[in-house]
Amino acid sequence: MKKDDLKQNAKLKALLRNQNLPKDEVIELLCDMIENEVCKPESQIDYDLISELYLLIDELSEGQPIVSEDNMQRNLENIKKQGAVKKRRKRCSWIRTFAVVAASFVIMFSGISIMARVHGYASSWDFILESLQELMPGEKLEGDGITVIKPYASTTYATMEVLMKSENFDFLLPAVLPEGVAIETITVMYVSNDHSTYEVAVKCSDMNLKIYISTHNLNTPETWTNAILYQTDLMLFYIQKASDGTYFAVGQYGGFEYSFTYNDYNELTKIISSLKA
Amino acid sequence: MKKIIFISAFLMIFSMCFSVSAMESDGIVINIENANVIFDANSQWTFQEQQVIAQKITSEENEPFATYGLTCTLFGHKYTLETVQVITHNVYGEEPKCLKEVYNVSTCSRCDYIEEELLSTVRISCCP
Repeated sequence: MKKDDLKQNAKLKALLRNQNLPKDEVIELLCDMIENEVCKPESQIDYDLISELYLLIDELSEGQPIVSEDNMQRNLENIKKQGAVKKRRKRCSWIRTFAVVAASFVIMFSGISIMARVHGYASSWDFILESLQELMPGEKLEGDGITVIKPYASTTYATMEVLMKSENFDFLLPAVLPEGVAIETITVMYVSNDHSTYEVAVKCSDMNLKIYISTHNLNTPETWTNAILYQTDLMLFYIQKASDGTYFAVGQYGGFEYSFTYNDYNELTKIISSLKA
Repeated sequence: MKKIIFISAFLMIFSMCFSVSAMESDGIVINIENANVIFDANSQWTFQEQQVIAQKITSEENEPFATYGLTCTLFGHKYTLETVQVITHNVYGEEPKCLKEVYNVSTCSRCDYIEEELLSTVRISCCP
Protein backbone atom coordinates (compact mmCIF):
# COMPACT_ATOMS: atom_id res chain seq x y z
CA MET A 1 0.00 0.00 0.00
CA LYS A 2 1.28 3.51 -0.90
CA LYS A 3 2.11 6.14 1.71
CA ASP A 4 -0.69 8.40 0.48
CA ASP A 5 -3.18 5.57 0.71
CA LEU A 6 -2.09 4.80 4.28
CA LYS A 7 -2.59 8.40 5.20
CA GLN A 8 -5.97 8.37 3.50
CA ASN A 9 -7.08 5.31 5.44
CA ALA A 10 -6.05 6.80 8.74
CA LYS A 11 -7.97 9.92 7.86
CA LEU A 12 -10.93 7.85 6.96
CA LYS A 13 -10.84 6.02 10.25
CA ALA A 14 -10.63 9.28 12.20
CA LEU A 15 -13.43 10.79 10.15
CA LEU A 16 -15.69 7.87 10.75
CA ARG A 17 -15.00 7.94 14.48
CA ASN A 18 -15.78 11.58 14.67
CA GLN A 19 -18.92 11.43 12.58
CA ASN A 20 -21.16 10.08 15.32
CA LEU A 21 -23.00 8.08 12.74
CA PRO A 22 -24.83 4.96 13.87
CA LYS A 23 -22.72 1.87 13.49
CA ASP A 24 -25.04 0.34 10.89
CA GLU A 25 -24.85 3.43 8.73
CA VAL A 26 -21.11 3.50 8.91
CA ILE A 27 -20.92 -0.14 7.94
CA GLU A 28 -23.29 0.54 5.06
CA LEU A 29 -21.10 3.45 3.98
CA LEU A 30 -18.01 1.29 4.05
CA CYS A 31 -19.77 -1.39 1.99
CA ASP A 32 -20.69 1.22 -0.58
CA MET A 33 -17.06 2.33 -0.71
CA ILE A 34 -15.96 -1.27 -1.28
CA GLU A 35 -18.51 -1.68 -4.01
CA ASN A 36 -17.38 1.51 -5.74
CA GLU A 37 -13.79 0.35 -5.63
CA VAL A 38 -14.66 -3.11 -7.05
CA CYS A 39 -16.62 -1.56 -9.93
CA LYS A 40 -13.51 0.23 -11.19
CA PRO A 41 -11.45 -1.23 -14.06
CA GLU A 42 -9.20 -3.99 -12.74
CA SER A 43 -6.01 -2.02 -13.20
CA GLN A 44 -7.36 0.81 -11.01
CA ILE A 45 -8.72 -1.27 -8.13
CA ASP A 46 -6.91 -0.63 -4.87
CA TYR A 47 -7.04 -4.04 -3.17
CA ASP A 48 -5.28 -2.77 -0.09
CA LEU A 49 -7.99 -0.18 0.40
CA ILE A 50 -10.62 -2.86 0.07
CA SER A 51 -8.95 -5.04 2.69
CA GLU A 52 -8.62 -2.02 5.00
CA LEU A 53 -12.30 -1.28 4.57
CA TYR A 54 -13.15 -4.90 5.39
CA LEU A 55 -11.03 -4.69 8.52
CA LEU A 56 -12.87 -1.56 9.53
CA ILE A 57 -16.20 -3.24 8.96
CA ASP A 58 -15.04 -6.17 11.02
CA GLU A 59 -13.90 -3.86 13.76
CA LEU A 60 -17.15 -1.97 13.79
CA SER A 61 -19.28 -5.05 13.71
CA GLU A 62 -17.14 -6.53 16.49
CA GLY A 63 -16.88 -9.83 14.76
CA GLN A 64 -20.60 -10.10 14.28
CA PRO A 65 -21.64 -10.94 10.72
CA ILE A 66 -23.27 -8.05 8.86
CA VAL A 67 -25.97 -10.32 7.58
CA SER A 68 -27.58 -12.44 10.26
CA GLU A 69 -27.21 -16.20 10.18
CA ASP A 70 -30.96 -16.65 9.62
CA ASN A 71 -30.98 -14.23 6.72
CA MET A 72 -28.04 -15.97 5.12
CA GLN A 73 -29.63 -19.39 5.52
CA ARG A 74 -32.92 -18.10 4.09
CA ASN A 75 -31.13 -16.54 1.12
CA LEU A 76 -29.15 -19.73 0.44
CA GLU A 77 -32.30 -21.81 0.42
CA ASN A 78 -34.01 -19.39 -1.95
CA ILE A 79 -31.08 -19.58 -4.31
CA LYS A 80 -31.10 -23.38 -4.18
CA LYS A 81 -34.85 -23.50 -4.87
CA GLN A 82 -34.52 -21.17 -7.82
CA GLY A 83 -31.70 -23.26 -9.25
CA ALA A 84 -33.65 -26.50 -8.81
CA VAL A 85 -36.77 -25.11 -10.49
CA LYS A 86 -34.73 -23.84 -13.42
CA LYS A 87 -33.01 -27.22 -13.81
CA ARG A 88 -36.29 -29.14 -13.70
CA ARG A 89 -37.89 -26.79 -16.21
CA LYS A 90 -34.90 -27.13 -18.53
CA ARG A 91 -34.89 -30.97 -18.31
CA CYS A 92 -38.66 -31.32 -18.79
CA SER A 93 -38.60 -28.97 -21.71
CA TRP A 94 -35.84 -30.97 -23.41
CA ILE A 95 -37.63 -34.29 -22.91
CA ARG A 96 -40.90 -32.85 -24.18
CA THR A 97 -39.23 -31.49 -27.32
CA PHE A 98 -37.50 -34.79 -27.99
CA ALA A 99 -40.76 -36.72 -27.52
CA VAL A 100 -42.62 -34.44 -29.91
CA VAL A 101 -39.89 -34.70 -32.57
CA ALA A 102 -39.65 -38.51 -32.22
CA ALA A 103 -43.43 -38.92 -32.43
CA SER A 104 -43.52 -36.70 -35.52
CA PHE A 105 -40.89 -38.81 -37.22
CA VAL A 106 -42.71 -42.05 -36.44
CA ILE A 107 -45.99 -40.66 -37.74
CA MET A 108 -44.30 -39.31 -40.85
CA PHE A 109 -42.54 -42.58 -41.62
CA SER A 110 -45.70 -44.56 -41.02
CA GLY A 111 -47.54 -42.35 -43.46
CA ILE A 112 -44.81 -42.67 -46.07
CA SER A 113 -44.67 -46.44 -45.59
CA ILE A 114 -48.41 -46.76 -46.08
CA MET A 115 -48.21 -44.66 -49.24
CA ALA A 116 -45.27 -46.76 -50.47
CA ARG A 117 -47.27 -49.98 -49.92
CA VAL A 118 -50.32 -48.58 -51.66
CA HIS A 119 -48.20 -47.71 -54.69
CA GLY A 120 -46.53 -51.10 -54.70
CA TYR A 121 -43.07 -50.13 -53.51
CA ALA A 122 -41.14 -52.63 -51.38
CA SER A 123 -39.28 -49.90 -49.54
CA SER A 124 -40.26 -46.46 -48.28
CA TRP A 125 -36.90 -45.11 -49.44
CA ASP A 126 -37.57 -46.23 -53.03
CA PHE A 127 -40.88 -44.39 -52.91
CA ILE A 128 -39.27 -41.23 -51.53
CA LEU A 129 -36.43 -41.30 -54.04
CA GLU A 130 -38.74 -41.79 -56.99
CA SER A 131 -41.10 -39.11 -55.79
CA LEU A 132 -38.19 -36.69 -55.44
CA GLN A 133 -36.95 -37.59 -58.89
CA GLU A 134 -40.35 -36.77 -60.32
CA LEU A 135 -40.29 -33.38 -58.66
CA MET A 136 -36.83 -32.49 -59.86
CA PRO A 137 -36.33 -31.03 -63.31
CA GLY A 138 -34.12 -32.74 -65.84
CA GLU A 139 -33.86 -36.30 -67.07
CA LYS A 140 -35.14 -39.21 -65.00
CA LEU A 141 -32.75 -41.99 -64.15
CA GLU A 142 -33.30 -44.83 -66.55
CA GLY A 143 -34.80 -47.91 -64.89
CA ASP A 144 -34.42 -50.06 -68.00
CA GLY A 145 -31.27 -51.60 -69.37
CA ILE A 146 -29.87 -55.10 -69.15
CA THR A 147 -28.66 -56.46 -65.83
CA VAL A 148 -25.86 -58.99 -65.56
CA ILE A 149 -26.19 -61.00 -62.37
CA LYS A 150 -23.24 -62.95 -61.03
CA PRO A 151 -22.93 -64.55 -57.60
CA TYR A 152 -23.16 -61.67 -55.07
CA ALA A 153 -22.81 -58.91 -57.70
CA SER A 154 -24.91 -57.37 -60.42
CA THR A 155 -24.36 -54.61 -62.98
CA THR A 156 -26.87 -52.88 -65.23
CA TYR A 157 -25.89 -51.73 -68.72
CA ALA A 158 -27.75 -49.33 -70.95
CA THR A 159 -27.32 -51.36 -74.14
CA MET A 160 -26.30 -54.85 -75.21
CA GLU A 161 -23.27 -53.45 -77.03
CA VAL A 162 -21.91 -51.84 -73.89
CA LEU A 163 -22.67 -55.00 -71.92
CA MET A 164 -20.84 -57.32 -74.28
CA LYS A 165 -17.86 -54.99 -74.44
CA SER A 166 -17.61 -54.64 -70.69
CA GLU A 167 -18.29 -58.23 -69.69
CA ASN A 168 -16.26 -59.78 -72.52
CA PHE A 169 -18.55 -62.80 -72.78
CA ASP A 170 -17.48 -65.55 -75.18
CA PHE A 171 -20.96 -66.87 -75.90
CA LEU A 172 -23.36 -65.73 -78.59
CA LEU A 173 -26.65 -63.88 -78.13
CA PRO A 174 -29.49 -63.46 -80.61
CA ALA A 175 -29.54 -60.21 -82.55
CA VAL A 176 -33.19 -60.64 -83.48
CA LEU A 177 -36.01 -61.05 -80.99
CA PRO A 178 -39.79 -61.07 -81.46
CA GLU A 179 -41.35 -57.64 -81.62
CA GLY A 180 -41.63 -55.98 -78.25
CA VAL A 181 -39.41 -58.54 -76.58
CA ALA A 182 -36.14 -57.56 -74.95
CA ILE A 183 -33.49 -59.25 -72.86
CA GLU A 184 -33.82 -58.08 -69.25
CA THR A 185 -31.25 -60.03 -67.24
CA ILE A 186 -28.32 -62.32 -67.90
CA THR A 187 -27.56 -64.51 -64.88
CA VAL A 188 -24.23 -66.31 -64.75
CA MET A 189 -24.00 -69.38 -62.53
CA TYR A 190 -20.60 -70.94 -62.00
CA VAL A 191 -20.60 -74.72 -61.85
CA SER A 192 -16.90 -75.25 -61.18
CA ASN A 193 -14.77 -73.49 -58.57
CA ASP A 194 -12.36 -72.17 -61.22
CA HIS A 195 -15.33 -70.62 -63.11
CA SER A 196 -14.40 -72.44 -66.31
CA THR A 197 -17.72 -74.28 -66.29
CA TYR A 198 -20.78 -72.11 -66.05
CA GLU A 199 -24.36 -71.72 -67.17
CA VAL A 200 -26.18 -68.60 -68.29
CA ALA A 201 -29.89 -68.00 -67.81
CA VAL A 202 -31.22 -65.22 -70.06
CA LYS A 203 -34.50 -63.66 -68.93
CA CYS A 204 -36.62 -62.00 -71.58
CA SER A 205 -39.50 -59.61 -71.16
CA ASP A 206 -41.73 -62.26 -72.73
CA MET A 207 -41.58 -65.32 -70.49
CA ASN A 208 -42.62 -67.53 -73.40
CA LEU A 209 -39.08 -67.08 -74.75
CA LYS A 210 -36.46 -68.85 -72.70
CA ILE A 211 -32.76 -68.77 -73.52
CA TYR A 212 -30.17 -70.93 -71.75
CA ILE A 213 -26.46 -71.20 -72.50
CA SER A 214 -24.04 -73.69 -71.00
CA THR A 215 -20.33 -74.47 -71.30
CA HIS A 216 -21.11 -78.14 -70.80
CA ASN A 217 -23.67 -80.25 -72.62
CA LEU A 218 -26.99 -80.61 -70.85
CA ASN A 219 -28.55 -82.58 -73.68
CA THR A 220 -27.78 -85.25 -76.25
CA PRO A 221 -30.07 -84.08 -79.07
CA GLU A 222 -28.66 -86.66 -81.46
CA THR A 223 -30.61 -89.29 -79.53
CA TRP A 224 -33.96 -87.52 -79.80
CA THR A 225 -36.62 -89.12 -81.88
CA ASN A 226 -38.81 -86.98 -84.13
CA ALA A 227 -36.51 -83.95 -83.81
CA ILE A 228 -36.57 -81.32 -86.56
CA LEU A 229 -33.11 -80.42 -87.86
CA TYR A 230 -32.51 -76.73 -88.60
CA GLN A 231 -29.18 -75.52 -89.99
CA THR A 232 -28.10 -71.92 -89.34
CA ASP A 233 -24.92 -70.20 -90.52
CA LEU A 234 -23.11 -71.25 -87.39
CA MET A 235 -24.59 -74.50 -86.13
CA LEU A 236 -27.09 -77.28 -86.48
CA PHE A 237 -30.13 -77.04 -84.23
CA TYR A 238 -32.30 -79.93 -83.09
CA ILE A 239 -35.86 -78.74 -82.51
CA GLN A 240 -38.31 -80.78 -80.45
CA LYS A 241 -42.00 -80.03 -80.23
CA ALA A 242 -43.44 -80.56 -76.76
CA SER A 243 -46.92 -81.74 -75.87
CA ASP A 244 -47.72 -78.23 -74.51
CA GLY A 245 -47.18 -76.75 -77.97
CA THR A 246 -43.81 -75.15 -77.25
CA TYR A 247 -40.71 -75.70 -79.34
CA PHE A 248 -37.37 -76.51 -77.77
CA ALA A 249 -34.20 -75.96 -79.86
CA VAL A 250 -30.68 -77.08 -78.95
CA GLY A 251 -27.45 -76.31 -80.81
CA GLN A 252 -23.78 -76.60 -79.97
CA TYR A 253 -21.03 -74.24 -81.16
CA GLY A 254 -17.68 -72.94 -79.97
CA GLY A 255 -17.75 -74.83 -76.67
CA PHE A 256 -21.24 -73.71 -75.74
CA GLU A 257 -24.65 -75.36 -75.84
CA TYR A 258 -27.48 -73.01 -76.79
CA SER A 259 -31.05 -73.84 -75.77
CA PHE A 260 -34.15 -71.91 -76.82
CA THR A 261 -37.80 -72.42 -75.93
CA TYR A 262 -40.59 -70.54 -77.69
CA ASN A 263 -44.20 -71.11 -78.61
CA ASP A 264 -43.85 -70.01 -82.26
CA TYR A 265 -41.73 -72.13 -84.61
CA ASN A 266 -41.12 -69.45 -87.25
CA GLU A 267 -40.11 -66.83 -84.71
CA LEU A 268 -37.88 -69.41 -83.03
CA THR A 269 -36.00 -70.08 -86.27
CA LYS A 270 -35.49 -66.33 -86.78
CA ILE A 271 -34.09 -66.03 -83.28
CA ILE A 272 -31.63 -68.91 -83.54
CA SER A 273 -30.54 -67.79 -87.02
CA SER A 274 -29.56 -64.38 -85.64
CA LEU A 275 -27.08 -65.70 -83.08
CA LYS A 276 -23.89 -63.69 -83.20
CA ALA A 277 -21.09 -62.47 -80.98
CA MET B 1 -41.65 -65.58 -30.70
CA LYS B 2 -44.69 -66.45 -32.82
CA LYS B 3 -42.55 -66.33 -35.93
CA ILE B 4 -40.06 -68.79 -34.43
CA ILE B 5 -42.82 -71.20 -33.37
CA PHE B 6 -44.47 -70.99 -36.79
CA ILE B 7 -41.27 -71.69 -38.69
CA SER B 8 -40.29 -74.53 -36.33
CA ALA B 9 -43.68 -76.22 -36.69
CA PHE B 10 -43.60 -75.75 -40.46
CA LEU B 11 -40.19 -77.35 -40.74
CA MET B 12 -41.10 -80.24 -38.42
CA ILE B 13 -44.21 -81.12 -40.41
CA PHE B 14 -42.45 -81.18 -43.77
CA SER B 15 -39.06 -82.45 -42.67
CA MET B 16 -40.10 -86.08 -43.37
CA CYS B 17 -40.33 -85.21 -47.07
CA PHE B 18 -36.81 -83.89 -47.21
CA SER B 19 -33.58 -85.65 -47.76
CA VAL B 20 -30.40 -83.69 -48.12
CA SER B 21 -27.30 -84.55 -50.00
CA ALA B 22 -24.24 -82.44 -50.57
CA MET B 23 -22.81 -82.45 -54.06
CA GLU B 24 -19.14 -83.30 -54.42
CA SER B 25 -18.03 -80.13 -56.11
CA ASP B 26 -20.51 -77.39 -55.22
CA GLY B 27 -24.10 -76.75 -54.26
CA ILE B 28 -26.47 -77.95 -51.60
CA VAL B 29 -29.28 -80.14 -52.92
CA ILE B 30 -32.63 -80.54 -51.24
CA ASN B 31 -34.88 -83.23 -52.70
CA ILE B 32 -38.63 -82.70 -52.63
CA GLU B 33 -40.66 -85.45 -54.27
CA ASN B 34 -39.48 -85.55 -57.91
CA ALA B 35 -37.54 -82.29 -57.76
CA ASN B 36 -34.01 -81.32 -56.76
CA VAL B 37 -33.59 -77.80 -55.39
CA ILE B 38 -29.98 -76.69 -55.72
CA PHE B 39 -28.44 -73.88 -53.67
CA ASP B 40 -25.02 -72.36 -54.14
CA ALA B 41 -22.33 -73.94 -51.94
CA ASN B 42 -21.59 -70.50 -50.48
CA SER B 43 -25.22 -69.65 -49.86
CA GLN B 44 -25.89 -67.09 -47.15
CA TRP B 45 -29.04 -68.89 -46.05
CA THR B 46 -29.02 -71.38 -43.23
CA PHE B 47 -30.11 -74.95 -43.84
CA GLN B 48 -33.49 -74.25 -42.25
CA GLU B 49 -34.01 -71.23 -44.48
CA GLN B 50 -33.06 -73.27 -47.54
CA GLN B 51 -35.67 -75.86 -46.64
CA VAL B 52 -38.36 -73.21 -46.36
CA ILE B 53 -37.30 -71.70 -49.67
CA ALA B 54 -37.22 -75.11 -51.36
CA GLN B 55 -40.73 -75.85 -50.14
CA LYS B 56 -41.98 -72.46 -51.32
CA ILE B 57 -40.46 -72.75 -54.79
CA THR B 58 -41.76 -76.24 -55.45
CA SER B 59 -45.24 -75.50 -54.16
CA GLU B 60 -47.88 -73.97 -56.37
CA GLU B 61 -48.18 -70.99 -54.04
CA ASN B 62 -47.35 -67.90 -56.10
CA GLU B 63 -47.82 -65.21 -53.48
CA PRO B 64 -44.66 -64.21 -51.60
CA PHE B 65 -44.50 -65.21 -47.94
CA ALA B 66 -44.57 -62.03 -45.93
CA THR B 67 -45.20 -61.12 -42.34
CA TYR B 68 -44.23 -57.48 -42.08
CA GLY B 69 -42.59 -56.40 -38.86
CA LEU B 70 -42.63 -52.75 -37.86
CA THR B 71 -39.03 -52.28 -38.99
CA CYS B 72 -39.78 -53.72 -42.44
CA THR B 73 -42.94 -51.63 -42.69
CA LEU B 74 -41.04 -48.43 -41.95
CA PHE B 75 -37.74 -49.08 -43.68
CA GLY B 76 -38.46 -51.87 -46.16
CA HIS B 77 -37.01 -55.36 -46.28
CA LYS B 78 -33.37 -56.24 -45.74
CA TYR B 79 -32.90 -58.44 -48.81
CA THR B 80 -30.72 -61.46 -49.40
CA LEU B 81 -30.73 -62.31 -53.09
CA GLU B 82 -29.43 -65.56 -54.57
CA THR B 83 -29.94 -67.80 -57.56
CA VAL B 84 -31.57 -71.18 -56.98
CA GLN B 85 -31.98 -74.00 -59.50
CA VAL B 86 -34.78 -76.55 -59.53
CA ILE B 87 -34.61 -79.74 -61.57
CA THR B 88 -37.95 -81.47 -61.92
CA HIS B 89 -37.70 -84.95 -63.33
CA ASN B 90 -39.88 -86.61 -65.98
CA VAL B 91 -41.96 -83.54 -66.76
CA TYR B 92 -42.24 -84.39 -70.47
CA GLY B 93 -43.16 -87.64 -72.14
CA GLU B 94 -40.47 -87.29 -74.80
CA GLU B 95 -36.77 -86.50 -74.65
CA PRO B 96 -35.48 -84.36 -73.05
CA LYS B 97 -37.79 -85.29 -70.21
CA CYS B 98 -36.58 -83.21 -67.28
CA LEU B 99 -36.92 -79.48 -66.69
CA LYS B 100 -34.34 -77.21 -65.08
CA GLU B 101 -35.63 -73.87 -63.81
CA VAL B 102 -33.49 -71.01 -62.56
CA TYR B 103 -34.96 -68.64 -59.99
CA ASN B 104 -33.85 -65.39 -58.42
CA VAL B 105 -34.91 -65.74 -54.79
CA SER B 106 -35.23 -62.81 -52.40
CA THR B 107 -35.60 -63.19 -48.66
CA CYS B 108 -35.67 -60.72 -45.82
CA SER B 109 -33.40 -61.30 -42.85
CA ARG B 110 -35.86 -59.46 -40.56
CA CYS B 111 -39.15 -61.17 -41.48
CA ASP B 112 -40.58 -64.15 -43.36
CA TYR B 113 -40.60 -62.47 -46.76
CA ILE B 114 -39.68 -64.86 -49.59
CA GLU B 115 -40.20 -64.12 -53.28
CA GLU B 116 -38.96 -66.04 -56.28
CA GLU B 117 -38.60 -64.79 -59.86
CA LEU B 118 -38.28 -67.30 -62.69
CA LEU B 119 -35.34 -66.32 -64.90
CA SER B 120 -35.23 -69.11 -67.45
CA THR B 121 -35.81 -72.79 -68.02
CA VAL B 122 -34.12 -75.47 -70.05
CA ARG B 123 -35.09 -79.03 -70.73
CA ILE B 124 -32.33 -81.46 -69.89
CA SER B 125 -31.59 -85.11 -70.40
CA CYS B 126 -30.75 -86.43 -66.95
CA CYS B 127 -33.26 -89.26 -66.67
CA PRO B 128 -33.44 -92.24 -69.03
